[in-house]
Amino acid sequence: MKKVLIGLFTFVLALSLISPVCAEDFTPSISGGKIPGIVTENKDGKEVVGYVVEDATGEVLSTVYTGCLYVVSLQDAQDPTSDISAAHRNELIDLNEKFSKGEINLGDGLVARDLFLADLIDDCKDWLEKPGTSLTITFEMNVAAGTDLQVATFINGQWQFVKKVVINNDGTVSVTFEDLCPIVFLVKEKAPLKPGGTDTGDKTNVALLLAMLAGSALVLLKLKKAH
Amino acid sequence: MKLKRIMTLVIAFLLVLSIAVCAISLFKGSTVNNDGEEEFERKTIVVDGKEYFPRQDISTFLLMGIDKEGEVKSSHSYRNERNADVIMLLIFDETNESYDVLCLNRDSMVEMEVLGVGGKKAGKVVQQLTLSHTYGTGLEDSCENVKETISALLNNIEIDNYMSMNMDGIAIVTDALGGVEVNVIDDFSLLDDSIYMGVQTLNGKQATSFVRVRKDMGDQLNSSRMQRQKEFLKGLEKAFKAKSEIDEMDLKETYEELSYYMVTDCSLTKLSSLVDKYMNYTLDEIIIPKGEYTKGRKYLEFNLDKTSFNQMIVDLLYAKKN
Repeated sequence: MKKVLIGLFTFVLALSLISPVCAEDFTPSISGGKIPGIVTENKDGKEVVGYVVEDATGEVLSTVYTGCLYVVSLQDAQDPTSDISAAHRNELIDLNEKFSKGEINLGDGLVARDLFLADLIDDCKDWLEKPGTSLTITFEMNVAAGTDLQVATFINGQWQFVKKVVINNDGTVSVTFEDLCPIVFLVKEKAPLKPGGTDTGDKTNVALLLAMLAGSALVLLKLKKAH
Repeated sequence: MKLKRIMTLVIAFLLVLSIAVCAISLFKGSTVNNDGEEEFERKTIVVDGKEYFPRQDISTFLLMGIDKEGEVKSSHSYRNERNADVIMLLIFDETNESYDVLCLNRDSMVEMEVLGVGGKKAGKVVQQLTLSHTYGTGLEDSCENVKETISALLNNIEIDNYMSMNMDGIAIVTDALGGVEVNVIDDFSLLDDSIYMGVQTLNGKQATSFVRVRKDMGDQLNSSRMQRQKEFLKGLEKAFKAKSEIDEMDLKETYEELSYYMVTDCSLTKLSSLVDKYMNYTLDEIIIPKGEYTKGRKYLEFNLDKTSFNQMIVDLLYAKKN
């Protein structure tokens, strides 16, 4: 027991020594978790998430500042002390359970990579209600170019795929929403790579084939001799 | 005569079958017996025209330091906010009874698995190593993700065991030692007026502030903080030596207290046996891979120097084929 503790002490010692060295913050070191970050632009000292535009004309109807957008991660939903509505909490937890158990399948090979809820706050809620309007939000997703990524929203009990999803060069993803609600990012599962050791089976088959051939040759030879 | 021919055919068929079965058994046997050899073939690498094979006489233990306070709890989600800020791989050389410590930079840009909803694998991304722990609940699944990431980084080396620990460990150990004496040269009065300038014995809470705070402290430089850490380490060693000599600590109690702040795939018995086994091994080298910091779109990125990193992998994990 004492030796275990000595080992742990050594580790703690290393923790106290190394961690802050890594935490150079002249340029921030990344921290992750919860949900994908949202890319904002600074406009007149305020952080802008995006703009509600009229699709037909491209006219900007409203500017969506960060304060206008309400985002709930699954982690927030699971935290009973977080300040979110019971409806949102329950909806997200329920969807998570269904995805986890495989009860929701939005397409063959599609795996839910991220699940969260985003909506405009009450004062801004009607901005997207006008038909033919949309809001593009860019997420810090770090998605490789060429990834088969799809985004779906859960509207009135139905999943709907978002039509416009763009993977940008820097790995961020711009999604154009016609409505906000529970959002899921889905990626197409690639066929599993063949592990290095699995070719043994092939060799076995080759061995079997060779043995069969050798055996067959023997039989043929025997039969030939018999004739 | 016809019956004789049929019998000959049947016997021949049985012969063929037995040859086939033997061949399969032989091959399967060779797979089992020569598993190492097959692995050898699969993992053998060629560097500068020379063949190297993976060393079989090493064991590894992954240590992760999580820059969070509080008891370790599940996030109950497929993501968590517990970044692995300290990542060290202990590599034990069982032939020479020595070990190396490989310290990997948290900002190292590496490929890792993304764990999606329900912990399902959802593709791979290249990003800072620290983030590999933010996938999963923050418990074993997150540690396993770090383990797999590092394994892949090191040519699929097998990582035998792991342990992650929160920063609270500093406070617990300090208190278990009855405090750590340091010489405080910075003015902490704005942050914690219980820490005064001059020689003082810090308790656990004070010790945590002492080694971690940078903002609003003195010249706010990391170099100043590192000086405080060195001061703390000196005090910690001194306090530990004093305690181990008189053996006053309630070890079990302290271990149990620490256990709230750590995640490991080792039982206490397993840990004990590992520590017993490796306790007398001598530290060979602390290796910090070289690389270059660049500023990414928003955050620091540490790009490992591939040439020296690959050489390091060969030196640490491979042996030259005779």
